[in-house]
Amino acid sequence: MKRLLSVLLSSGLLMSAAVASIDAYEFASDQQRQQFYRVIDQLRCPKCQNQNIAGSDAPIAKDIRERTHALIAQGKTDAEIITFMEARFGEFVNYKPAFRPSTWLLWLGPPLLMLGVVAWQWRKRQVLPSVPLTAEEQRRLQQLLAQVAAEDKSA
Amino acid sequence: MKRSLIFALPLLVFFAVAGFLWQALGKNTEVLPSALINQSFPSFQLTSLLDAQQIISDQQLQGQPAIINVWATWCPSCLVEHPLLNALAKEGVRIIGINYKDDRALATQYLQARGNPFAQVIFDDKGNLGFDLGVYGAPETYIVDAKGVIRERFVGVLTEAVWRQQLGPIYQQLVTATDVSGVKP
Repeated sequence: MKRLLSVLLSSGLLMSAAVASIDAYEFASDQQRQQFYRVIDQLRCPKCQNQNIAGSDAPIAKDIRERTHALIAQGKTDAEIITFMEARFGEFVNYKPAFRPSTWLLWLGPPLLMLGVVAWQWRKRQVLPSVPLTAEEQRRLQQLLAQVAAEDKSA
Repeated sequence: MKRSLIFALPLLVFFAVAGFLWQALGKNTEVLPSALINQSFPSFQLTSLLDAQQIISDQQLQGQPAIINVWATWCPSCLVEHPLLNALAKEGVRIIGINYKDDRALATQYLQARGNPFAQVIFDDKGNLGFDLGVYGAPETYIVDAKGVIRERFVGVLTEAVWRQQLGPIYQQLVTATDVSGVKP
């Protein structure tokens, strides 16, 4: 039992390591190391779609990691590296595309949908205020009740 | 009024889903648009596959339109399209090969055994030229005009139908335009 638990735990730990391959990269500073992981996390693999560069084992993902590492060693910023990759593989590789008309829906869709649902729910919760019947309506109500009672009696 | 709206809701949802599926289904998401369409071919200086002493650069591509084919011996789909490349070369289509992340001896043998459709073969063993082109898997095929501008990209196996419908007409048009303007190598 204990053994099973430890196996489960360790496999869980393995899965949580998002970096698929074990490439040994050396960095001049911890800051550069953090930058590396930040950038490969934001880049999307062109071959194995819907995986990021950090998590992919495809050869092209390895190439992009290597190039990212080299560019970081040259002191390039995040934006410079991402522009460099976009120039080659298209905006597709950027998981955070720029905000412009063709990506408005992508950026604004989810929050708008959320707002819509919240507004709808809020409106549903609103209790309609009760309006007392007017004298005329009251009279008609009594008349109808009397009519029903009379019908019941005759039946 | 409110009632009828509620009854119309499933219908509206149906149309929304149908509309979405209509445009999304059947679309091949594997094929990405190239970032390099209408851009100059990346500059490079690499050796020729068949002659390690000969340097090929991007300037040598210019002068007349060309088909650029990215291939490798480790790529099974490249085998499939090889006979078509041979046939096109025989018809006079100018094809430049990029031997991508490959072994020089293996690639040379491959061409000796299957025929060499390429006017030139660029030996890109490190894959740096491929990287600059945005190659994410072989085979890939590009059309470059006489000025060295990339006009078209095709990812995957080049077939007779793809050539006839997509790449061939663009290439022919470029050849005609080049003949008229008189740009020759």
